[in-house]
Amino acid sequence: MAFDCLRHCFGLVKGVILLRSGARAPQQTKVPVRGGPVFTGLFHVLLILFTIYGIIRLVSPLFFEGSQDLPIDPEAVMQLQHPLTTPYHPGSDTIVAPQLLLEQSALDMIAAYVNAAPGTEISGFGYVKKLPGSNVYYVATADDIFITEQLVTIGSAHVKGADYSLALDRAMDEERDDELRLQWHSHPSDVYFSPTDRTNIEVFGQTAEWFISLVTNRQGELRARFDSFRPVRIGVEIEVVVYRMADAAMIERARTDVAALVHQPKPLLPKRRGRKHTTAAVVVTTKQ
Amino acid sequence: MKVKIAGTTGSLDVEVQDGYTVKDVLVEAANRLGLENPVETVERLTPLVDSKPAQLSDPVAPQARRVAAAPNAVNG
Repeated sequence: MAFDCLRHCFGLVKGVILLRSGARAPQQTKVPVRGGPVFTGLFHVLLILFTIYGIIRLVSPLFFEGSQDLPIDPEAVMQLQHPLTTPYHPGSDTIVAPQLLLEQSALDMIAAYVNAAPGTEISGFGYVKKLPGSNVYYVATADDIFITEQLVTIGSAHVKGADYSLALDRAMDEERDDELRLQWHSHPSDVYFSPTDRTNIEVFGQTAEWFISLVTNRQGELRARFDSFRPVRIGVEIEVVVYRMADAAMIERARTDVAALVHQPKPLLPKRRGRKHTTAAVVVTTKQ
Repeated sequence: MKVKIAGTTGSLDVEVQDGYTVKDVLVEAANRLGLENPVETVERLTPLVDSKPAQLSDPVAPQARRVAAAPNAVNG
């Protein structure tokens, strides 16, 4: 069969060449075929294309996992409580520089604190979680951002150790003391880590294993750095990604609408079974 | 008693000896955590014993349950 297909394809090409060159097609072929070699060849070409299409449909999910028919699972979104990111795969070429993800409401909370203290700096803390299996750190909600008592001026913000200890003590009550690893503060204009800020980082590093520092201003500019102190000292400015977690009601409505209104052509081949999708509806914007 | 130093993972259980001060407890915790210069490091910390402000030189009460300690945070 395959040989016949190829033979007729060859016949089709040969026929086309002969017609273009003005020559006559041969009067007789070895195998008399109804409709002539051109139509038979055309039929076999279509048959081959159809077969190739079917094979591609069959194997495409292997290469485009999740690209078709993505179910949105609100429970998965709620359980995730963190954005989708590219996980770090050990041994791969994936960039492993730490990254800070700030949920939009957490960023709004910081901005609200900054704007509520006009004319002075302000500083605060935050709970940071680490995305399992990655080098990604994230602040999930506005509730994870808070301030303590402090003394501020136009160019400084001073939190006494006792007040920081009080925050640590409360975090212990909530069993979140290991997450208390974000320190943020505002500058009146430019966002950068001043010598005072860097000294503060080194002081923290005398006890801390790692933590994240963030500086912002009233214009909403951001800069962040990740500092690790043990087992090796690493200090690096990191990318801040602001994301917004879709709420469950919105996801459910989208799911219902899609189920009722969105249709796909009937598949030519049966779908593969047993595949699971995990997805979250997340809007991501990046701030450098 | 349970000891938590800012920025470290988890907390430590330190057995309080007679006459221990808050500083002694913290230095022992710092040693067990492997912090460099434990005495100097602890001297930069402000402790809280059972959620109440304390001094490093304060003796630890037998019934005390936990200590949290953190340094000043100065940005500018």
